[in-house]
Amino acid sequence: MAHGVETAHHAEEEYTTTGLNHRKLLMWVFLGSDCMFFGALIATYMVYRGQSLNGPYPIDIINVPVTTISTFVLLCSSFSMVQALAATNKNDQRGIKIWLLATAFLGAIFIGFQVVEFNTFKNEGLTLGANLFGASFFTLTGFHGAHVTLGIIWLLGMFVLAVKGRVGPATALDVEILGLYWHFVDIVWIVIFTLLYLIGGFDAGPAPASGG
Amino acid sequence: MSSSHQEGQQGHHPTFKQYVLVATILFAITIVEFLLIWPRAGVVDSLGYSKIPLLAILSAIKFAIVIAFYMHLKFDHRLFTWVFLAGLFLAFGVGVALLTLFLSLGGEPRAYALERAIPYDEHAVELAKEKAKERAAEAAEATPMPTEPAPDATPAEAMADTPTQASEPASKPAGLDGQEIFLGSGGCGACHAVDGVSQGLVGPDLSHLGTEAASRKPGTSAEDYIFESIRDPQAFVATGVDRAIPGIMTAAVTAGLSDDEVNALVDFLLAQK
Ligand code: HEC
Repeated sequence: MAHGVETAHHAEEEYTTTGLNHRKLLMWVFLGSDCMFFGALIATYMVYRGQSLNGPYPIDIINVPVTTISTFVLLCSSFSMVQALAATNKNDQRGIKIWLLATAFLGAIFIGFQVVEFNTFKNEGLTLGANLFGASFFTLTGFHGAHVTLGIIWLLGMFVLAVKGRVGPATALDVEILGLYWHFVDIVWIVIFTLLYLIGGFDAGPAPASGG
Repeated sequence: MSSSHQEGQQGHHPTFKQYVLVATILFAITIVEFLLIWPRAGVVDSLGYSKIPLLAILSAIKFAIVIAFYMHLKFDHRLFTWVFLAGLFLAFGVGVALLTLFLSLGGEPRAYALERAIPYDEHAVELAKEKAKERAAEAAEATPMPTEPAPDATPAEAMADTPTQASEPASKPAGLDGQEIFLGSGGCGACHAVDGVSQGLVGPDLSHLGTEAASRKPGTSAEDYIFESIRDPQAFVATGVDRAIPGIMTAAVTAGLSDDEVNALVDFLLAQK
C-alpha cells in the first residue's frame, strides 16, 4: 500500500461529535436532499399526469418492455457496484478494476437506452415543449439521466485511481460513498420506472373523436 | 487502532451469496411488476385499479431492499437512516400535498383537459391523405361516365357535386341552433375561433367565414362550400388559411352530425360576416 493512502487513512479518523465520518454523513444528507429534488419533479409529473391537451400521449410512445430491459441493466450495475466495494475491502486489485469498469459500462448502457428513447420520442413529436406530458417527462427523466452520467464520470475517475493502484481497504470509504450515490440513482429509477412506465405508461389521451 | 467511522458496520457486510440473493429478489420483483401490467400477460385487466397499490408496494419493497442491503443502512449507524428518511418523508409529503391541492382546488383535474384535449393518432394524417387519394381516383373514374349521376346532369355539374349532395343545403333546418351545435355536440369550438363565441386555435379562424367562403373554392357558392367543408372536410382544403394542425379535421369528426345539424351550422357560419 502506498504511503499516500496511509495518510489519507489517518485523515479519515479525525474526531467528530457524532462519531461518524463527516463525508459519509454529508453524502447521506445530500441524498436526503436529493430525495426532495426528485420528489418535487415526480410530484410535478403526477399532478400534470393526464392533463395534456394534445398528443403524443404516453400510450402512443412509451415502450415499457424496452425500458424494463434498461431497468434490469441499472439493477445489474447496482450489483456490480456492491462487488466493487467488496473487492476494495478485500484489497482484490483486479476485482476493484473489473467491477468499477463493469458498473460504469452498465450505467453507460442505461444512458444509451435513454438517448435512443429520447430520440425516438423527439421523432414522434414529443419534445420538451410539445405538451405537459413532454415537459414533465423530460425534466424528470432528464435529471435522472444527468445523475447517472455524473455517476459514470465519478466511477471512471475511481477506475483511473484503481489502475494507478490507489484504491484499497484504506480508501474503502471513497468507494463506499460513490456506491451510496450510485445506489441512490438506482432507487430513484425504481420509483420513476414504476410511476412513469408501469403505471403512467398506458395513459391515453381522449378517445378518438367520433361524431364530434 | 479502531477507527470510529467504521463503528456499527464492521463484520456485518453481507457475503457474495447474500448479494446474489438480493439481486435475484430485485430481478424477480421487476419481472413480476412487468407481468402485472403487460397487457399480453393478461393479468392487468383483472386487476383494474388495484394494480396501482400493488405496484407501489412492490417497488417500495425494491426500494427498501436496495437501501437496506446495497447501501448498508441495515448495518450502519441509525443517524444515516434518519437523515435520509427525513428527506424522503419531506419529499413524500410535498408530493401528497401538491396532489391534494390540485385535486381539491381544481376539482376533477382531468375534466378540464378532457373537454379540450385533441385525440392523437400518428397515422390519422396519412390515413386521411390515402382516403383523399382514393376519393380523387374515384371521382376521376366517375366523371367521364355521365351515366352515374342524375341523367340530366352535365359532366361539369357532376364534377362540382361529386363528393356531397350539394343540393341538400337548400333545405332549411327546422329549429336547430347552429351556435349551440358549434359549441356543444359538434365540438367545433375546441378547434375553431369565432368572435365572441369560441377561442379554438387548432383550425382556421371562422369569424368572417360568411364573407370569405364564397371565394374559397372556385365555382362553389359560400353555402355549398361550408356544407362540404363540414360534411367532407378532406374533399377540398382551402389554401392560405391559418391553422395549427392541418388535416386534423376529417369526416370522422363530423360523422355524428345529421344533415340538418350540419345545415344549422352552415347557417350559423354564413352569418359570421
Ligand atoms: C380537431 C379539430 C377540428 C374540429 C373538431 C373541427 N375542425 Fe373545422 N377545421 C379544422 C382544421 C385544421 C381545418 C383546416 C383544413 C385542414 O387543413 O384540414 C378546418 C377547416 C374547417 C372549415 C373550412 C374553413 C376555411 O376557411 O376554409 C370549416 C367551415 C370548418 N372547419 C368547420 C367546422 C365545423 C362546423 C366543425 C364542427 C362540426 C369543425 N370544423 C370541427 C379543425 C377542426
